[in-house]
Parts: sequence; structure tokens; C-alpha cells
Amino acid sequence: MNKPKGAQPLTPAVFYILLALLTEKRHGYDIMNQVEADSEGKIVMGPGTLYGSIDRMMDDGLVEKAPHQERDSRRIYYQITPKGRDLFNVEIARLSSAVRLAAKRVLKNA
Amino acid sequence: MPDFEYAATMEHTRTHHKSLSYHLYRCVLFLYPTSYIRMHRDEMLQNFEDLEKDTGSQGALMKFILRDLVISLPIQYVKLVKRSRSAQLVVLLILMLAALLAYQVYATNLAHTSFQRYATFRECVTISHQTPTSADCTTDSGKTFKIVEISTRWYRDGDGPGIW
Repeated sequence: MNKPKGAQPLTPAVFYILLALLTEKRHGYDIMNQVEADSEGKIVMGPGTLYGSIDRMMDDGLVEKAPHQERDSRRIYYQITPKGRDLFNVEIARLSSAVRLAAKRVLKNA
Repeated sequence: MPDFEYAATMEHTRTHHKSLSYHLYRCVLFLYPTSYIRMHRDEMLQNFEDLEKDTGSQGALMKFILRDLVISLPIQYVKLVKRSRSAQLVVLLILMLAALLAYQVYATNLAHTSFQRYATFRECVTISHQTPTSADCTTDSGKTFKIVEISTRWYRDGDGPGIW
């Protein structure tokens, strides 16, 4: 996996939006609900905060507008880009390594 | 019915049968920078409708939307200021006006409407060279300074509101 240049830890909002878009294209309200469910209610985004984050992520090339969806033509759907997927994988690897390290130290001190 | 007439009728029907809070939210969206709202207005209104359907109480919905506005509005304006040179100039102008206003308030607080009250406030022991608009004041410690009248208020020379 190519590590994107200058990859920083993702903010919780960006992480959960990428997670929501990982398996399917979603419209704004669907993303809001999925983020809330995935974060177990810890991250609740309203329309203003959601589209602010999506704009930034689109500028960074992490997500993009999906082609027109037949199932609901009034809504705009978003999808993750290959760059977004790479960055998400890097973040997952970073978190996994941190969890492994923490678990090792906890076991050592137990 | 021609397509465009049908579309116009549907649009009218869509907006005509909305709740009061929906119309209120539509107005509130004008608080966002134009560039942002031009891109997301329809989506945000659609989200509001969805939220209205899914949220039981109007109070909870309003609280949620208000919280969202408080968080997202400043972020959008900071983004706008970062991007636009004219927005930076407007902010600079507002800051300069605020500084001038603060100075005016500060300078006014140093003033008194009567010469006697001001002289007492400044602890003048001796007053000399008094004219209707100025006087020299000497304090107990021997310091001497000039008191002047500017726009019916008395100031220590130099403390006055200057450019006003």
C-alpha cells in the first residue's frame, strides 16, 4: 500500500465519513446517520458541519460526487476516491499498531 | 401540460406545503457565505426535511440545528476570509473601527462634563491660566498639566478623543 505523502492522523469527523463511504455511495443525510451510528452517538453532525467537512474532503481529493443515482434523483450522492481509501487504510494501520502496542504494555504491567 | 409548467407546479407544491420551521431554516441559510450556500442549499433543505420527519420533537430539532449553526457558521466565514482578499479587507476595516470605538469609549470615560468635577478628579490643588476652554492644573505632588474642553467635556490635554 502506498502511504500518501504527509499523511496525518485523521480527525474523527473525516475518519467516520470515510468509514461511512467505504462500502457504498451515500447522500448527505445517510452519511449523517451512518456517522452517528458508527461512532455510537459520539459524533453527531448537522447539515452545516457535514457539508463543511465534505467540501474540505473534496478539496483534498478524498471523496467525490457520485454519478447520478436512479434510486433518488433529487439527492447528491458521495463516494470515496482511491486516495481517500488509501488514506483510510493508512489510518487503520496506524490505529491497529497503536492498539497492539498499548495491549502489549497493558499485558506487561498486568 | 408542458414539462416546464409541470416542473414549476411541482416546485410550488413542494415549497408551499412545508412547515413553518422549514421556511425559517430556509431563511437562516442566508447567514452562510453565498459560495457555500449556492453549493449546498438544496441538500441542506432536504436534510432538514429528513431530520424533521425523523426527529420527534420540534424543540430537539431546533436545538440540534442551532448547535450546528453555531459550529459551522464561524468555520465557513473563516474559510471565506482565508480565501478572499476583499473579505480580509472587510475584517481589517471592522477591527480598525472596533479599535477606534474602544478608544472613543476609553477617552470619553476619562472626561467630565464640568471643569470643577474634572479638576477634583485629577486632584488639582492650584488652577492657573484659566480661560473658558482651558486651564493649568498643579497637583499636590507638584505636577502641572493642562486641562482642555473638547465638545462640552473636559479632558487632560492629549487625552481627548482627537480625531472625533
